[in-house]
Formats: sequence, structure tokens, C-alpha cells
Amino acid sequence: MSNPAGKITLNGREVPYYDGDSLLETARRQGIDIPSFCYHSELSVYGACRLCLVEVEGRGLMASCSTSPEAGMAVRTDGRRLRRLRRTILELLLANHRLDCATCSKGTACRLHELCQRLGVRESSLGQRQEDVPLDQSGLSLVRDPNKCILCGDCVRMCREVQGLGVLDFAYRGSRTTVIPAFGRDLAEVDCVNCGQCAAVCPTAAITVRSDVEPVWEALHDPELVVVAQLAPAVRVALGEVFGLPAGEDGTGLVVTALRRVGFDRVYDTVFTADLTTVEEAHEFQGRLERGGPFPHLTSCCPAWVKYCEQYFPEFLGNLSTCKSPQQMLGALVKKLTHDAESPRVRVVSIMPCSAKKFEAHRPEHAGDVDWVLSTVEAAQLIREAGIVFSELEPEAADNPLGMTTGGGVIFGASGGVTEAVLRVALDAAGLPQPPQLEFQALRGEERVRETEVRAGDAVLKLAVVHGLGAAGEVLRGIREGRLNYHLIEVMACPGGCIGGAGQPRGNRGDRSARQRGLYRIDRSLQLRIASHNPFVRELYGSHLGHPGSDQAHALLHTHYAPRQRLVGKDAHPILEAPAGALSISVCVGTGCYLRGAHTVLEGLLKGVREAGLEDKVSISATFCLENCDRGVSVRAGDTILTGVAPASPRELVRTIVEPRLAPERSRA
Amino acid sequence: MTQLVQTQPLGKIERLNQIIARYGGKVSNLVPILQDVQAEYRYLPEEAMSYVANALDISPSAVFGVATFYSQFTMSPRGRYVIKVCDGTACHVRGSERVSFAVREAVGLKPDGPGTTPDLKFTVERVACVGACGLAPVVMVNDREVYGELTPEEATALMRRLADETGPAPDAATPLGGAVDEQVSGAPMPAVGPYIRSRAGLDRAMERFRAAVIGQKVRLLVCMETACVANGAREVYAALRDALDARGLRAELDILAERRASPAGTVPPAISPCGRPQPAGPGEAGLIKAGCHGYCQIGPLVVLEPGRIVYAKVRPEDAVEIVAETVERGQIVTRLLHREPGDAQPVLDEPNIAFYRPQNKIALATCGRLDSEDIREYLAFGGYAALGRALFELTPEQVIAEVSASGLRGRGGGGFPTGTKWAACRKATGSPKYIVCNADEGDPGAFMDRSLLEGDPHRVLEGIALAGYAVGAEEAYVYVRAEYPLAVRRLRRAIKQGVAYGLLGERILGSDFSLQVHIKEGAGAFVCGEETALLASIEGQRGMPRPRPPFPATSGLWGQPTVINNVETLACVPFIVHEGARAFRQFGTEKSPGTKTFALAGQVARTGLIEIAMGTPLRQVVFDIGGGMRRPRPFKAVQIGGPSGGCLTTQHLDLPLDYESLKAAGAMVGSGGLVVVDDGTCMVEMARYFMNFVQEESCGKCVPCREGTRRMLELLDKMTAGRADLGDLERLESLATVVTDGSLCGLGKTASNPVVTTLRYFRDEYLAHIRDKRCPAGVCRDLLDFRILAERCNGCGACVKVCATQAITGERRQPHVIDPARCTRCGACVDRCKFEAITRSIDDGEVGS
Repeated sequence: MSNPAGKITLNGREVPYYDGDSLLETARRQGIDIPSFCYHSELSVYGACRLCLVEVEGRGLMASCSTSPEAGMAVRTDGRRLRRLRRTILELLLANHRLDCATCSKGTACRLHELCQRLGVRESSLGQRQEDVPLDQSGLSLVRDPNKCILCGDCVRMCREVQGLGVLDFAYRGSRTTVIPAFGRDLAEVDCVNCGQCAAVCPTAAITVRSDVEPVWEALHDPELVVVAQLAPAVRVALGEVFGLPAGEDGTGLVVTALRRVGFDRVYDTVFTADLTTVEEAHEFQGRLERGGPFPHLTSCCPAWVKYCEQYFPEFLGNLSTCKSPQQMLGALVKKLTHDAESPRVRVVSIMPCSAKKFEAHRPEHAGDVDWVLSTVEAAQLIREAGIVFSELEPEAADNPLGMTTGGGVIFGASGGVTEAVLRVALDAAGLPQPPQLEFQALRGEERVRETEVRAGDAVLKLAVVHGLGAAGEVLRGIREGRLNYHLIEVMACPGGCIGGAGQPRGNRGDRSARQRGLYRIDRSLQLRIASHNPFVRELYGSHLGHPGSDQAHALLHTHYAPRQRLVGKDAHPILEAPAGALSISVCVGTGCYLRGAHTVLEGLLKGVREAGLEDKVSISATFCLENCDRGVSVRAGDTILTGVAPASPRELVRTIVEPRLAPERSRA
Repeated sequence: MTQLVQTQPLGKIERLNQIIARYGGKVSNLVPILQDVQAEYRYLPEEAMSYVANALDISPSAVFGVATFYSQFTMSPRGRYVIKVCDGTACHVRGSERVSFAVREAVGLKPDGPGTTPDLKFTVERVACVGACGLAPVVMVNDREVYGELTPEEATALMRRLADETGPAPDAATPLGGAVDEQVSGAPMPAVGPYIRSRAGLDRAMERFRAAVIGQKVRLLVCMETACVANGAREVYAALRDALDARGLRAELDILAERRASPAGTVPPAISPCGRPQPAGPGEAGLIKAGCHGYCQIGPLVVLEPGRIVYAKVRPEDAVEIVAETVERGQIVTRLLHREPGDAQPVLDEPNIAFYRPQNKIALATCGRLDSEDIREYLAFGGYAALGRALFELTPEQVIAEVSASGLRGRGGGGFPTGTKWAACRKATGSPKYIVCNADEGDPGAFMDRSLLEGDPHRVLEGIALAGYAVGAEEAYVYVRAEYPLAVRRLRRAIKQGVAYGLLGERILGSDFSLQVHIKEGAGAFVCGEETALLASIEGQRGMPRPRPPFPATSGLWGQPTVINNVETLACVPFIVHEGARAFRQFGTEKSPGTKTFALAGQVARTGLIEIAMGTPLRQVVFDIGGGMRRPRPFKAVQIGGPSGGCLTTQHLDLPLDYESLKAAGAMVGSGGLVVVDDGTCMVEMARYFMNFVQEESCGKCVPCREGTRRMLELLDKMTAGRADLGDLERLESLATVVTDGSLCGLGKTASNPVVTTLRYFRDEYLAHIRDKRCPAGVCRDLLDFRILAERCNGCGACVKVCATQAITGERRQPHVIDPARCTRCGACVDRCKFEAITRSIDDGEVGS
């Protein structure tokens, strides 16, 4: 901490303040927690809840979150006027809040509940909520309950400022103000990537992670079923918090025991498939180094990031690692390999720190591999509901072979971990020296974008670790514009990586760094720290997969991606319709493309296709923005997006765009 | 969603692309882009909003957020006729609710249902204020035609007429002023480069145009402001033009300017207050489309210069006589002169009309006296001399010093010293700096800023230029509210002329000072009058205020140092810089120097726009200027400062109207709406009216304002419905304190003022509603019971005709009866009955009309 910038009088006591701090932060340093809903250290100052008002001598009541201390200022954080104000504000919020606290999924984690208790609000005489707005349960990951929203805007700012998305925003005004996706649509209909950070910052139950506890109980209670759990890296350092363990303490063994007691037939560790992912991805990266690209290699274990990339940066889909995420690898291994024989009776339940994993499990290309995803908090709910006294458990080990772990897989849970794990494997495979204690300190930390260069033999690898999708978007734009270049970029959507996921118990920045340290401690404590040294991973290759990157490995452990329109709905306006199975060509007529002659291209293609007599083989449509606005006219032909298509003669357009993609016999004919 | 290309022909995309390109694809232009999109589709289709979001590279939710924030935008198709029923304070106290009821009834809409008829013929909306308070109650059709002083029956007739109209839909985009406007040339534009390039050039130009004005033997100033236009000023203008042209009398300013030599230093007789119109020969009579003269009630007004002779309620038929008598012979047409109520003697000129006599004009000095669309007229009246003086004789610091010495304070409500604000901005580090002119005059019952912008836009622009020079800004924004299309058009034209004449734009008058002036149109949000909300709106966001500090003077528009002044404040600046601080201080009080404009409206005999010295006693305003009560009922109160202000009562009649005195009385100067009410107005209902207004206009950001005003409104609703208990009164007072203490911005902090002041001065009336379930003013419907007194009813049937719900029945010439189940308690029958046979109250008949 730098030197104090000056002193103010706080409740009669002279206290120092520091540059950049607000009055609220100054008071918190002094152990006074001024109540607030909308103040959030990682978001911009909003100043709307008015709970944090303090009395500044000579100036009256001021919001402490947005007021900077000035030398000599005399501030009172309490008093009759302030107490009445704060209580009335809480009463006003209660008057517009659906009060079903006993059955509310937020339980006592609700900040409104907490502050009412803390400030001694004992009645709400100012009115009762009349409206009953239907819940938005459209999404696989999140549920919105507008009846619980206090309009603090934390979610809006999180989504816009940290994630760079702006899926949610305020709409309407006055007492009709609401926080809602564009056009009042449901979450599933808009560009939400399911990261759930909105839910993570929501002080009430207005946005929560969708609960899948019920179907999991049903499965556990069905004697016919073999129910398998997998435990994600970041869960082990956070689940215990629900039961009073300090953040970051290793709870792996306790959670395994608890899950067995709850009734899971097998408890596996997602760290095992994190190791497997590392090996596959290191191999893939190695291959790109040998082939000379495509760079940057983009990691693919974060499902929110993958969806983001599909929506906003489809031109980088070829850069995404084709490796499935550890969750999906484990699901695939269980269903298609280890429990193949009893597959119809096997159910896989993932315990994840994440809301987006729920969406990922339902992606059609993974369908059926993972049946349900529980968040860390839901898993704790399962344990609590079963009456298990967590603090009295003895730790147990996960089931092998899918329970064997190395440190490389463990640190997947912290931003930078995937890169570090991959580097360990890559250097190990190449026989190159590792850093001291196998630790790449430059990849660790809390900055949104961390970059480093690693010498690997003769090559110098430029690497970047990014967390938060807003930062990821910035980096990708930099690459798109040629300002930046890297060999590998690791992206995690949530602050700090999975340890800060939306499925974790409510945590602040301090809790996040404790969890991060916890993972690195576990890494250090393990005998094996290089993923490729995992004996069961090796055995898996020996017995089934052959070698990393083999056809078998690809069939089981790799996936593919498709561009997603930013806006939902059928994206194209058919102009020339051909029977199903025809080559589909869409020409972007968005602003950028339009100005560069999209219509000429469209007309040329139509003419060319007709002239060539290909009407029954090609369908042509106009589409709305393929997200490559800066690259000239974009055309999607089949699965490929072509950018920078210049208006040309109809024949030429057909020759370059259509013919190479037609079925061979046709193009020959 | 968003199958843009599926649902819209490609031609529409092209239109959207054009609109987006017109605004440079800038996010800050989101509001105007959406306005243009809405003009194209008559509403905002989802596909178009998505398309705009994509083109501007912002999230669709942000576009949706902006579109739903501003009341101008609509998400569903609107009718061919958009009927805006004004519910400003003045209209409200003069019965706008009944007009609204009649309008909706006439087009077949339920009183509280959706606002558009199924056949898309009519959309009926409530609008906060169209600024035609002098003609209350008014409705506006397609943002173009204003119909004033409407009775419910007239409103019904109007709707019937529109319903029968066929042919092409009227163009809602055509601004007020219409066809005649287009024919007025305005100043000719120089072909290359600015017309005036030096101080000497300015002097020469002023001299030339002054001479040109002198050349006019008579000037016919036809007031073309909203109220007069609603009364038929457009037709009067056209008739005068035709009559003059038939005789070849109309003057062309330009030709005169070239021809005549100028006697240096003389004030043109045509613009001197003394003197009389001289017989005019060919090309010697000026016909001017002038701005607001203030006395809206006696419009259409034609003022004759020299001499400021006032012809009131002029009809097009009078044109020939005016031309023959006054223009050609220099004779006064006595029958057109104004007569004070109850006085048979005509009054010749402005100085002798009671409405004008006590006024002092600084901001409005030339408003109504010149053609606001012609910069040459403003120059002829000495306009831009202050700017010339500042640029060549004064340093920016000296300009600030002069403004500080004048004691000028913000006329928009806060009353913050203007000089101090400028000095802070000048001192602030950061470049560029901005000037923002706040013309978001949203107070229901106020129309001063609009009158100024329409009637004398160059005065405001000169003030802006002076402010820019003083603080070192090179860009300025004028934020005009959406409901003022004519003001926007006049201002746009004025800016264009200013640039062409070298008085705005690059290197003004050849100096090193440059200033680009932009117009930003609001989109219907009262809160945007709050300075930080206004800045957010200019930046293309939802107009939500942010906490201060930092103040805009250090961190304003796009985080840059910004001075935000209201229209009237800036209009005072040229006078101060030109005449000096002392001249300004000769008006007003020590702490509140200068003058203040007010919009005088309500149940007062004379309504209109006035400008008086600060500190003028309330009594003088209400009784001397306003002429006392309109109806034979006692004065009860004035509501001053709109929804942020408070009420003053008989005990305040000798209160000087200045910042301190009003604040002490619990009210505020506000922007200057001054609505007089008599004992037919219920103060509880009026408090409810303002609370409803604030509640609807609250941006919804901070809890005290969003939730607090809603609950206060609920409590007031209970009171006016007779469902409240004394505990509710306590809750109301407690909430009032919390909303004042806790709100984020000025709108919320002052939202309780009407409640607090009415509680302070009319507590009995609250208690009557709560304890006795009685409305002493006979206004609150739920507390009324309409009955026909059989002994007074002669069965004339007049009431039957006005009853919209057929609640009154009876045999001809026999006493009638009211069916309480059908009666909506609108009161139309009471107003109609000539025999005072209908009563409103349960317990006593005393509160009949």
C-alpha cells in the first residue's frame, strides 16, 4: 500500500485515506462496513441504491461509493437521519419484492435478507408487490426471476463491463424499470453465453443458476441406475465454504466421501480428464508449431468462451482447440469406454463450479455423455439435504482409473492453469528444461490479460492468459486488426477462471485468490505434476487410444464448432431455394458488406448459378451479418465463411465460391 | 427473432443504412437514428433495432434500453392520427382529463385501454406539456396542429372530423408552422466563405441591416408562436401577405439594405417604441413572422412597429382593412385594438396594456419583435454586438468577471451562479471543453425556453458563443426536447445562418475563436433536464443521472469539462456582456439580480409569457399582469416551479419572487412555470397530479425516487379516493423526507416539494379527505356524488347531451335524474347546467360549480 493521501475524520476518529479510494472504501479499511447493494469493487460506480449515504459535514448526505475523501472532511456513517433513510430504503425494496423467503433458492445468501436483518427492519408497511411476472426459465444454465430484482444493476454492469456482452440491460423507466434481455426476450433467445456472472453478483434471487438437484435425486434413488459423479478441479477448494471451511482449503477427499454417502456409485475426478485434455491439447499445439499454425491456438475448455467465440468471432473457430472440455471427455469415456457395457443404465453427474457447463452438456454434439451438471452450491445442497455432517467426514480417494490426478490437471481451475499444464507436457515431451518447481509464475496472477514469452528450444512462444470475456474480445480484436499476435491464448470467461465461476459459493476477490492459492498448493503437494505422467492416462492410450491425436482419440475426445449468429432465429432470407442437402450459400448484407458491394455479389451469384444450371444444387440467401464487417463482403458457403469476397463476374463467382464445394461428381459434370 | 431480411424488403435495409450513415454510425447518435427509423416505420420494429445495434456495434439490449426509456419511441404501430392530449399543469387545472375522456370516447378507445384504435386510425396519448399553456386545455394532432381552449364537446367534434377525413395521411414529420413557414425566405446565404470576417465587417453589417429596417415605414409583426398559430395566425399571415402583395407593398429586406444609405448611430424609427406607423409605399411595408409576444390569450396577435401597437384576435378577413388603413394610410383600425376585460375603451399600444406594463425584458428583449428566421433582423437590432465586443475587446477572464459581477444565476432551477460555473470550467484541465445549452424544458406548465428558441434563437446562440469563448470550448450542444419541433427547425436554420455569416463556426469574425454548435433532440424524458442525465442522453444512452461529484464543470460530456446552462441564462449573457453587469443589476434584488421569465397560466384572467424583475411581488404578477382570477372565484394558490416547486398561497402574495424568498417558502423558481389556481382546485389532487408526473418521469435508477414516489403516489391515490387513514398521512410525510434526503438527482430530491408545501399550507384539505372523506374543492371524483336538485331542474335536457355515458335520463320538461352506476363523475353536466341544478357532494349542495 502506498502512503496515505491525507486524513479525514470518520465518526469522530481521524483516519487516513488513499488515492483512488472512495469514502466507502476508506471506511471499509477502518472496519466499518457501510451497507450497499450496487457498490462492487470490480464494477463501475453506479450510485443507485443510496444505502451507502453518509453525512458529510457542511455538505449533507452524500453517496460514499461515489465520493472521494478530501483532506479534513468530517464524515459520519451513522445517525438518526441515516438510519431512517436506510431502513426506509430497505422497506421500499421489500414492498416491491416477492417475499417468499422461506422457499427462495437464495436462502440466507440473499443480501436483501442480510441487510434487513442487520439494520433491524422489522416490518414492511409501505406496500406489497402486486405484479407476478413469469420466470424466465428458458435457459439451460440460468433462471431469471424479475419479481426478486432490486434493480441494483450489478448484473448489467458485470455483463457489459467485465464480459463485454451487454446481454442484460435496463429497459423502460421509473417504477416500470426492469432488467431484461433485448426486446424482452428470454435468455435462451439472445446472445447469453451462460457464464452466470450476472447470477454471481446478483444480491438476491433475481438471477440464479438453474437447479438440477431434483432429477439427480431421482436418479440416485433409482436402484436400476449406475450414477457416476465427476468432480471439477475448482470445486474442491470451494465446496467446503458452504460448510464453514475456509476458502481455498483442499476439500477433495471430504467431497468424495460425501458424494459416496449421498449415493453415487462411482466418484471420478474431472482432473483426470483435465490431464487427458492437456496431453491431447499439447499434442495439437505441437502439431500447429510444426505445421506453422493456425495461430493463436485458442483453448476450448471454457464453454462460455466457446459460445462467445462462435457468436462473435466465428473467423477464429479454426483456431479453437478441437479438444473437448475435461467434463465432456470424462462423460465420453464413461459412456463409450469404461462403462460401455452398462451404458444404458449409467448416468453421469458433473459437479462443476460453472453454469455454462449445464449448457455444454446439452450441446447436440455431446448429447448424452453428461446427464446432469450440478453447481458447487447444488452439490452442497445435495450433501446437506442428505443430512451429512460435512465436518465429521473422513476423506476418501476417488475411484480409479478415472480418479487419478496430477497437479497439471488440478490447476485447470485457475486462470492460467491450462496453459501451464500444457507447457509442462510440451516441454517434457520435447525434453526441454522446465522452470523452477515446474511453475510458470508469469502465467499466474489476477490481471485480466497476462502475457509471457517462453523459450522452447530454439523457438520463443508468445502466450497470453485472459480471463473475462470483455478482455478476450479486446485481445481478439487486436489480433484481427494485426496489433497483437500470440502462439497460444487461454481464455476463461469468469474472473480468476473456474474458481470464480457462477456455480461457486458467493465469494469476493479475496475468496477467489484463496481458492487460487489452494489449487496451487494441491498441485505442489502432488507427486505427479505433469499431466502426461498420469499412469492411467498412459494406460488409456496403451489400451484404447493409441497415441495422442490418433483417430480413436479424435473420435472420442475431440469436437467441432459452428458459427452462431449473434441474433437468434433463422438467419437467412431464401432467394433461391434448392432441395435439402443442397449447398447453402448466404451472402451477408449487413452494413459493412452492403457498403462493399454485397448486393452485386448476391446478384452475381444468383445469375451465375442460374447460368450454370445449378439451381437444384445450390440454395442462395441473404443473411444478416456474419460478424466480419471489417473484411469486406462475407459469404458463407456450406460450413465455411469466406471474407473479403470482391464483386466479380457471375461466372467467376460460381467458379471460386460454388464449384469447389459441390459434390465431386457434380462439379466434374 | 430478427429475421430482418425475411421480414423486410431489401429496400428497407438500404433506408436503414442511409439513416445510420447520415449520423456517421456513431453510438452517440443512437437517439436521432432511432427517431429517423421511427419516422420511417411509424414505430420501432424489433428487426430495425437489431439492425441498428449491429451497425453501431452495441448490444441489442442497449438499443432496446434506450428505445424504451424515451416516451417518444413506440414499439407498436401507431395510428394515422396521433392525438396528444396535453396534461400539463395548466391544462390539468383547466379540465384536460375531461378532454382526454371525450377524445378517447369519440374514437372508441376505453379510458385506460391501449392508445391505438384497431383500425390504426387514431393513437391517443397523454403528453406532459406541449407548451401552449396559455390556451389550456389543448390537444396536438400529429405533432403539428394545436387545438386550444377545447371543451369536451369540441374535442369530440374534432375527432369526428378527423375520422371522416380521407386522402393521404398527414405527414407527422411536417413541423409546426406548416406551409406558410416554407415560403419565408430567411436570410440569403453567401455563396463562398463567411459573410462577415472582421469586427469592422460586423459593424458594417449591423449598420446595413439597421438601415434596411428603417426603410420599412411599418412593420407588421405576426406572432407565429404555437398558441397564436393554434388560433389561426398562419391564415392571418397568409391573408396579410396576399393583401400586401396585391398592392406591391411588401418590403424585401435585402433590396432595401443594398439601396439605402444609413444615418449612422440612429435607432431605426421602425424599432423605436415611440412614433407611429407611417403610410408605406411600394416595397416599404415589412411583414414579419415574429416570435412570441407573450400575451397568448389575445392571439392571433399582430403588433405594429413603430409604436408597438397591438391588434388582438386578428382574423384573416381583417387583412385587407389593415393593409388599406394602417399600411397605406397610417391609420389605426380601432376595432382591432385590445380591450381590457370590463373596459370598453380600446388600448392602443403595448406600454398601455396592463399585461405588459409591469414587465422588464432582457432575455425577451427582441423576442416577438423580429423575424427569428432571419439573422439580418437580429443584427439590425444590435445582435452579436456583444460577441464582437468580447472577441476583440475582452479576454475570456474578463467575460467571466463581467458575468460574475452581474450576479447572473442559473434560470433553469438551481440558481447556481453562472460566473462561478464558467470559472470552474475554464480552470478545469482537459481538452476539448464543451458548452451544453439545456433546452429540455420539461416542466408541465412552462414554455419560456421554447418561446425564446422559436422567437429569438440568435440571442441564445450569441450567449452560447460567449460562453464558449469564456471557458475555451470549441463545441457546443443544444439539447432541445422532442416536443418542440419548430424550435429545433428555427434553431437549425439560425445555426446555419450564423455559420454562413461568420458568427459561428470556424474563426468567428476572423478571430482565433471557433465554435461548432450541434443540436441534439430529446426524445421525451423529463429527467433529461437534469444535467448529468442530459449528458448521458447526448452520449446516446438512457437518460439516467449519475452521482455528483464529479461535477460537469470538471467532468461532463464524454468526461470533459462542460458548462451546462439553461436557455434563458444564456439569453441574458449578451445583454450583460454588451451593457455591463451594472445594467443587469438595475433589475432584481441584491442576491437575485436581473429578470426572470415566467409562464403565467391556470385560472388567471390573462395568461402568457412574461418577464419581470426578480423580486417582483407575487401579487403584482397574479393581479396586475394576470388580471386576477378568470372565473368569479377566489384566488387560492399558485404552483410555481412545476413538479419540483411548491405552492404559494394568499399569505405569500407579497412575497418577492426571487431565489431565496421562494426557497424559504418551500417552493423554488424552477424553470418558471407559474400556474394560478382558484378554489375549484383541490390541493391534494394537485399534489397527486405532480406526484404522478414525477413518478412517470422518474428514470428508475435510485431506490428512493423509483420506489418512494410510487408509494407516495399510492398514498395520495388513497387519499383522493377516500380510502386513507391518518397513518397514511404519517407515512406520506416520512416518505417525503426520505425521498428528499436519499434521491440521487434533483428530480428526486425535489419530487416531494408539491406534497410538502401543500401539506404545510393546506393540511386541512388533506384532513378533510382522510377524516371526513370529503373533497372541499369538489374535485376528487370518488368523494363526489352527482345529483340533480329536482326543484331547480326544468328538464331542459342540456345535461343529457353532454353526458358521455348516458347516465342522465328524464322526461322533457320534467326533473331529470343521474344513474350513479353509469355516472363517471366527469362533471360535464355541472358545467353545462345553467340553473345550478346539479350538485357534486354527498353531504351538502354548497360545492356546486
